[in-house]
Amino acid sequence: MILIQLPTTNLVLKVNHILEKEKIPHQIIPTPRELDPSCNLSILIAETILEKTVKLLETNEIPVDSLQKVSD
Amino acid sequence: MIYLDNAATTYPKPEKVIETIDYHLKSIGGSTGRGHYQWAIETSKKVYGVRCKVAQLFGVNDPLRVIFTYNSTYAINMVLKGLLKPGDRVILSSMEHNAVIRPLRNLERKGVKLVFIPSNSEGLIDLETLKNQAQMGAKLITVLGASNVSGTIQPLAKIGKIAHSNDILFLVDGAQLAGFETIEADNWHIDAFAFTGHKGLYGPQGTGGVVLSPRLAGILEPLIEGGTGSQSEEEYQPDFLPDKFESGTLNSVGIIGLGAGVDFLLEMGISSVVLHERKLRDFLIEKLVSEKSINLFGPLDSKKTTGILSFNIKNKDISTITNILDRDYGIMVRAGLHCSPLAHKSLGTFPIGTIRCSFSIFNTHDEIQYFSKSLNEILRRD
Repeated sequence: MILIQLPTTNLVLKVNHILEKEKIPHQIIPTPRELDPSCNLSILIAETILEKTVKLLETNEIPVDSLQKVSD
Repeated sequence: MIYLDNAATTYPKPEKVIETIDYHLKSIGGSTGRGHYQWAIETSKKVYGVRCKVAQLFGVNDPLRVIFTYNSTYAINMVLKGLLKPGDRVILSSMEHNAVIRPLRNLERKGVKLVFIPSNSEGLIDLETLKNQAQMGAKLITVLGASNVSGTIQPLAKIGKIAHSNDILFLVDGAQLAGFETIEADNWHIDAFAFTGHKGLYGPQGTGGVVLSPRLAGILEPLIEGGTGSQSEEEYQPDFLPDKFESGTLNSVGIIGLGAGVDFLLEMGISSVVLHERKLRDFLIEKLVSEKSINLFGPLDSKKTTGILSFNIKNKDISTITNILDRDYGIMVRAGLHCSPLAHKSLGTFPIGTIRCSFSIFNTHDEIQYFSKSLNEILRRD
């Protein structure tokens, strides 16, 4: 699984909206605190759809903090 | 009962709005942007969805530029007090509501200079004077999109062009216009379009906000600071949108209800709502114009207005008339100055004011017929 970390909660909601529109399966989860202490949320996606998701993020000019591989 | 004070707040609210608010109050707890559990995320998603609807309605390309407040007055105060400094020059129309005038008069005491642009007898701003004043430079042009007294709609695209070509920021008080016209904030060079949720958008009271341009959002100071549910480790206010301007718990249930109001409006079609209200206005003009003691104010051509008609009656006290309408006939209309002394001065109706009828999609031809018949009876009483 890939954890997409975004700078703000509202950007997480924006990405959620974009992914929902494109019917890309994803989950909103709390960002693990060792990665970010700011009480933010992150987006979790399957590794198989990473490329498609990254393209969408680029098209929509979404700033991404990090993409991290995490265990299921 | 017949309600003709929709410019104050629309009534009734659509069933969809009531059901949506009821559902969220009963079934989904949580506060937007606060908490990581399902209800909080669900609430946050719904509020974001309303940002998207509002952004689309007002013609801005990024939903994060939609800032929710409690009403348009709050949004206007946020812009004026977060932007203006002593020595700044502000150009404004002479039809403004107290939502704009009062914070500006307060800022004037602190050194902000105010330049009033006159209006014609219909309440329409004088574009030539505006252009000349804009060429002399200013920090801000502020204009009431549609008058809450006469319904007069200002040419926002033209004013935006003047503001833009003179590098002046442009604020629109859209309290009466939102929901009545498709706004193109980005294309019309509007830097701040303030709106309220409970009038033409058919949402609940306590909702509203402002859509900001990136250039204004970058320099505007927040009116209040505090918890945003983001960057919680920081003791300083975030500078990203919408968090920079949205401290404290939002009225999530109200905002979601506002979203249902926008859905209702779009399902009805803005053009159908406009057509309906203008037909009612035309019908009322037709009924009142033959009454010699009645003076109508604002444009007689309803294509130039929202669904508002103001009038007064020679040698009659308008408050007494509206009280009789209310008590004896069950008709609710608004008499007085409508928090707009400046507009009444411009229209020549200060300090007496006017009787204002204002319509919504729920008013009917029969109600207007009953109103004019009732008024006619009152005027013929001894």
